[in-house]
Amino acid sequence: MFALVRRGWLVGPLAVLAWANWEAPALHSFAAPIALVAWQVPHLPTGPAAEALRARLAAQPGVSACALSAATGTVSVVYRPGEATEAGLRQALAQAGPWVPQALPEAPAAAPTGRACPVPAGYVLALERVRFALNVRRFFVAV
Amino acid sequence: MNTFIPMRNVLVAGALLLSAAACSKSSDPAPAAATPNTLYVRLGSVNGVSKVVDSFLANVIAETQTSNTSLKRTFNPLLTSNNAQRVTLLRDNLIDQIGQATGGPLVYKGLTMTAAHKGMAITTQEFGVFGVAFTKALTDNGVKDPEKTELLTIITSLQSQVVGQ
Repeated sequence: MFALVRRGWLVGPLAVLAWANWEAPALHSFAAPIALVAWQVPHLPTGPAAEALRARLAAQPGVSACALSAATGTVSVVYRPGEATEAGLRQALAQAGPWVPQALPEAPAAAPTGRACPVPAGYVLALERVRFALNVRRFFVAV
Repeated sequence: MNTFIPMRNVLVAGALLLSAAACSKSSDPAPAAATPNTLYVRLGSVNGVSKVVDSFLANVIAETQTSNTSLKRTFNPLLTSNNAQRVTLLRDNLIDQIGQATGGPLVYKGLTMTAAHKGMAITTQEFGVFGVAFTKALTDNGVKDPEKTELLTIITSLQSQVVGQ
């Protein structure tokens, strides 16, 4: 009985390990996680000046991608949270010229139009991160 | 007798782990290293692919802030407030799918294009606007013309599975 109890604790961790290693990891798990930010910026430039501003923002440390749209007056930035901050990016934009980034108007949540997964996306992403961390098969993939 | 229990536990653990690896789905081929001349490698492997996808997302976000853009209808459910994690899921799926389609070492496990776009009634024009935003993402990341053409050909081949579903 005592031996069974002692062995019983192993079942849970083994089940988690088996679940984590059942499939090969997904490619996106090897990519750095990102965060998104978008601002309303009045009077954005067009043409080469817009491209220069985009390139300048894209060259900021930790920035993965940047896009400007003079038509919509929007600047959007995709960045790696560990390497850049929203405040730092806002400052970089302000230093690049006479542009004052403003928060986007809050969009109302879309009404559901069909069946949707009831599990919040954040839980799915957190589970994925746990599974990747425990997946030893990632050491045998060259990406 | 008790001294054998730890060894037995180790053996059980090893057997379970081996069986987990061996019994994985038959649709889950053994991962292999990416072949040197694949489009995946020429795009810059996982970092190159993810940068293109990130640029595409930035383009979509910048273009969907007015009500009359063609991308608005299809991407709005992802871009409304508190949905940043759904954008991340979209990013993950795009990276996986482009990775596999370009010869990367890992398999896309998401929905088929037909299933993913079912009920969205995407028009040919909307697919075209998507193509423009994607092409801009490739250009912004300095992807050369041969690779650009090759990837856009792959994406265009999916049009029939995306449009009109």
